[in-house]
Amino acid sequence: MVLNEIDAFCVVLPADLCPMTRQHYLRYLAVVDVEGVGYQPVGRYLPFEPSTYLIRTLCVERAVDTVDGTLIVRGQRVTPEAYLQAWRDRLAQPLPLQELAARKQLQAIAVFEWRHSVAIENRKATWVQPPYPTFGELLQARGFSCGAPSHSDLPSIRRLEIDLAAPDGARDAWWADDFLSALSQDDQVITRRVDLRPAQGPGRPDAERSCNLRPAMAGANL
Amino acid sequence: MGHWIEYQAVCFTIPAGLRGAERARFVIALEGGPNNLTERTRSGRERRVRDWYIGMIGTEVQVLRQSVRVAGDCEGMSLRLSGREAAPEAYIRRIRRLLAKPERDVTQHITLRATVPRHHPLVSRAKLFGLAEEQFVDYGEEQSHLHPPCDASGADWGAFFRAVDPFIEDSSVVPNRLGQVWHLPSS
Repeated sequence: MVLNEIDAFCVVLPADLCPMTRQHYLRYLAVVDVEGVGYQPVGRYLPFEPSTYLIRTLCVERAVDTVDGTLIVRGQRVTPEAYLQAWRDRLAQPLPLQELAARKQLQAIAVFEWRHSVAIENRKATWVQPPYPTFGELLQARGFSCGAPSHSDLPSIRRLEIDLAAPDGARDAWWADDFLSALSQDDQVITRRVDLRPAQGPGRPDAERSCNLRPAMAGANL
Repeated sequence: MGHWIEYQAVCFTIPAGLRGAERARFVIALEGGPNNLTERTRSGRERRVRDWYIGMIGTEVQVLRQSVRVAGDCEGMSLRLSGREAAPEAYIRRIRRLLAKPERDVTQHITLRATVPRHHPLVSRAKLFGLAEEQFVDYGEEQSHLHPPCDASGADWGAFFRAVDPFIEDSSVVPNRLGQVWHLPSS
């Protein structure tokens, strides 16, 4: 199957994204639009990568498929060298997160689903000076009501969606991912990903997209 | 931070017809080693450990695909060429240049033999193609060498490649587990 990449760009993430980022050491979200598939991020989970890691990911996951033409760009075959050079050009002029909706009519949404427990809620930050000392406080700040599930016979699956362009959205998404990505919680975490969706109209509050899953919905997701 | 250094590279071609090969194949032999492990030469000089190994193997497309994967390590400098920084694009171009001028004395320098864990799917597949299994234990792990079938004219590399091709394609067996490099001068 041939994948035709019809658009691609880099989104530069805020300098306060995580403890490792600074004004001159930023992280990026690489996005491709594949014909018949749509916009999707390059990489797994929350692929907020420094430029060097991004190029490495691009080599292994995308440029390798240009060799035999499994991946083409706007209908044309390209060499892996040219493909990588195009990404270097995009990294040199990345799209600010706040302009994603205006210039690409897209919203980048971090999506998390997990089987909720007190242990997860009480998980402490593993970095110094965190914006939220525990995952529970992050959830409360995002409009969650933490506590025991009302339907004890069903797994308490929770879903958190964060618009990366919202105030502190990218930062909170990174911290939510950090809280949920601990190895000991692997079987409790169902989804950590970034969705690229058509931009919504203005005025939709972020809290509307951060909700506890209804029991029926939770069952369906299982 | 530790990194890998490639010192020398040689490309060999296995032309179609040689030892049963149905189409042309290439072997990129690399001399490399870690930056932070040293040994004493006979003259007493300390130098970084290095050895020859098969870095890439397969058809031209398979070799180029492997080179792009490896090239990613150049970004961030966990892979360097003779100790110097190189961009992934430069690394890929280097492999292209090697592929364009391959050496022909492959039988003098390359032995094909797969080495995988004893329960790897390649072991059962290899038997279908007549490869001989030699079991051994390496640091407590059960392993198998898989040798291509031999007759008076030498090893049947065609059967070897038919057996290992799917594993080269999906990168589940790395090239340096598919053979050995002999008699190339150390840098």
